[in-house]
Amino acid sequence: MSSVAVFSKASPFDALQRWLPKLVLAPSMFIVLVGFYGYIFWTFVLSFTNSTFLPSYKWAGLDQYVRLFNNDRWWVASKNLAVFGGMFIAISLVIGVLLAIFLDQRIRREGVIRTIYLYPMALSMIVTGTAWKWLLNPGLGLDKMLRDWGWEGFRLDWLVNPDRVVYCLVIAAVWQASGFIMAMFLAGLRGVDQSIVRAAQIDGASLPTIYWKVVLPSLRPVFFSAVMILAHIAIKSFDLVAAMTAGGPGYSSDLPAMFMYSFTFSRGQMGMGSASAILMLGAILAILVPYLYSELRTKRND
Amino acid sequence: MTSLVGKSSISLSRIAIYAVLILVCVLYLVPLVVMLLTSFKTPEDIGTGNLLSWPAVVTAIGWVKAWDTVDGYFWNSIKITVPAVLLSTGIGALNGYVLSMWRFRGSQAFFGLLLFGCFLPFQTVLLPMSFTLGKMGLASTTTGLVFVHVVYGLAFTTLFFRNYYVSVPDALVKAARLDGAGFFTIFAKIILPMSTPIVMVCLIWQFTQIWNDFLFGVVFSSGDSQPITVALNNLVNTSTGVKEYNVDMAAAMIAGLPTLLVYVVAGKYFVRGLTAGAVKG
Amino acid sequence: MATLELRKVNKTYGPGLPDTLKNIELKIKEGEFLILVGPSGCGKSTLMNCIAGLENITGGEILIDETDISGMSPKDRDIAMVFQSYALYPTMSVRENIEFGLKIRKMAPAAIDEEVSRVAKLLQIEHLLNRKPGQLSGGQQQRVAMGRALARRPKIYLFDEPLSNLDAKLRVEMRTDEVDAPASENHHRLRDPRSDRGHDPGR
Repeated sequence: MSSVAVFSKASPFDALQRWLPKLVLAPSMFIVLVGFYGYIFWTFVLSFTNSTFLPSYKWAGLDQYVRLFNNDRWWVASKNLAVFGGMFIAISLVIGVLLAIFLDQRIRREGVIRTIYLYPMALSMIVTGTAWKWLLNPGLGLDKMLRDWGWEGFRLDWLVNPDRVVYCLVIAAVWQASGFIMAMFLAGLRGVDQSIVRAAQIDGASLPTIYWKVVLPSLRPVFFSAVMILAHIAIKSFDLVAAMTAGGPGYSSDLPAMFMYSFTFSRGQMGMGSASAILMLGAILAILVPYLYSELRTKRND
Repeated sequence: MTSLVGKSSISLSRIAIYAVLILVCVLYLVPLVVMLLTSFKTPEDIGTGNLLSWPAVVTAIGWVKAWDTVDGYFWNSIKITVPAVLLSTGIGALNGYVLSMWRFRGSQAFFGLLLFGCFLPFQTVLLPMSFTLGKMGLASTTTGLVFVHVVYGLAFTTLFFRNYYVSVPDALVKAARLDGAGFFTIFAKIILPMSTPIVMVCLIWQFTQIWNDFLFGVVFSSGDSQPITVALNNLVNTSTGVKEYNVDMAAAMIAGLPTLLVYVVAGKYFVRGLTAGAVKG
Repeated sequence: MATLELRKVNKTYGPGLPDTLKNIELKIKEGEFLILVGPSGCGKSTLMNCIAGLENITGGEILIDETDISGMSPKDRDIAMVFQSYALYPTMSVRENIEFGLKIRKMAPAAIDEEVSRVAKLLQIEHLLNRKPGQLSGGQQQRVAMGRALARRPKIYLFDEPLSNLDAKLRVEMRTDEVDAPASENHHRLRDPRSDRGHDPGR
């Protein structure tokens, strides 16, 4: 409907109708161009200035990035992201896949079980963080409970241990997200072509082998989506840190998102904060672009 | 279903599977149970008992104090979430409608840009947005937060509706145009009535995202305009005074109950909506 | 009562692409019945869409009753179309489906009811008026789609592969009905030229 037409008798109503779709989309187009891309560009620009409490537009070159590079807290945050992200993704995947496989075995009351696995996703990360902060409370939480139950001398002080505190974040995050991964894989498993499974069964393969060698490989797209979503959650993780540890003890459980907030809004370092935000964007792009690229490639090969 | 033996036998492996599943259920439920138990104890009880011990005395003082503290913020969240959910859903529906049925040059490119917006790390827009809110006079207001949530919810809501409407056959819109219906009439009388599944999905998703949000809340609001997630975090992470875990847990429950309830009650509509096609048979 | 004429009608989907429709010349007299047959992809649907105004032409003129309507929107051309998929509005009842176009044209409610009854009686779908399309069989849906077109008493009817979704036996029945319907009071009053496009692989 985009070709040039012989419009000899278009009524005003027609003209309006032709423009309506564009008019309706226009505000959203404006919002996206400005609020998404315009703002990203603005932040990008700020990262090259020496803004502190207020934006200034004095060119500072790569200063802010260099300062980031030399900032120990940023390194800790980045390293934490790698550890947290890696563990979070890996464990959530394993648990999610296993639970999905088990649930795929024609289980009674599957609906109830699924509901229970999924409910953590409905909660805010603040609630999750608060709950797990209490559970992992050194002295009053799980360790006290286990001691009361007979395991004397059990101690769980990871929450205040700078070397272990990231694991606490992982536990809480996995609790929240693995149900969702389970749901993704369950849906994927249900869509698997049964004939290849039957062929493998006839070939004499045992069920675990069938899953490992036949079914799971066919779910590669689901794996990619799951990794993408988990990575996205990991990179954006801010609420969880704020609630559970506020980055502490000290800044040993800091994550980039928390760092950005802290430096931009609490410490009056807008330039550095902007630089850290741009680096976070870079991290997302680093995952997104190859994923999209491989998606497009597989589509062309189909 | 790739399942074990065809018969639902009571074999050892099936027992093992059920055992694992139930154990995991328990593990998933423990935090919730603990939160509830703790919220009904007294601080002394918390000190002497443990996470799963039954309260010596079941008391609601934790809840009363928690509600006292977060009351106003709870209503803030409502004031923010309800309009934002409705607006972003409505706009998303119209956008999805245009993108799937009234395509024009550039609309596909716009969709691509929008799609990428779903992956945006919000840290990249926080600063510019706070300047903008300031200029609009909306800094530290619930209205400002509504605005922010609508803007950044557009990507997902448009995506939901567009993907849903794409499966509506072209012929339907053509027939309606021949019948004389215009852009809005087709939307209101034909498309919208068919949209119930995806509207449910969108409402539930947006409600959960917006109610649970913390980042926008903590950056764009302060004091009286803060949503409950921010209030909860402030309550729980204050370092002054004696920690009252019963209050903390009760407050967490108050913050978490709305989305939990939505999930329990409407969860199946969410799943149904995601898997529903727009046109049956 | 209307004549339909296509003069040198051209349609291209974009610069550099081959013409989908090239210099089409067509003249259909009042009351005439034209069937277009051709292999898939030869442009039958495009031609129909252009006549209906659902797509714009890139050259030439379309005239109904000697008036150039090429610039008019579909709703002003007074054309009704029956689609291969019937395109019935799924959330409306059969009655509402038929009424839809009439209500938009702001016909009086009494007149609308009369039309619906007339059409329902003609096509023997009176007992289906309160059902939804999802509850109807293929043949019934097809009749409702026809009813929707007939109720508007347009100048021109377009049928896009109306029979391809039915099984062979039903097809034969429908074909004779279509020939009979014009021969009944319907055709008497209307005498419309129709373009009918057919594609019957399983003859």
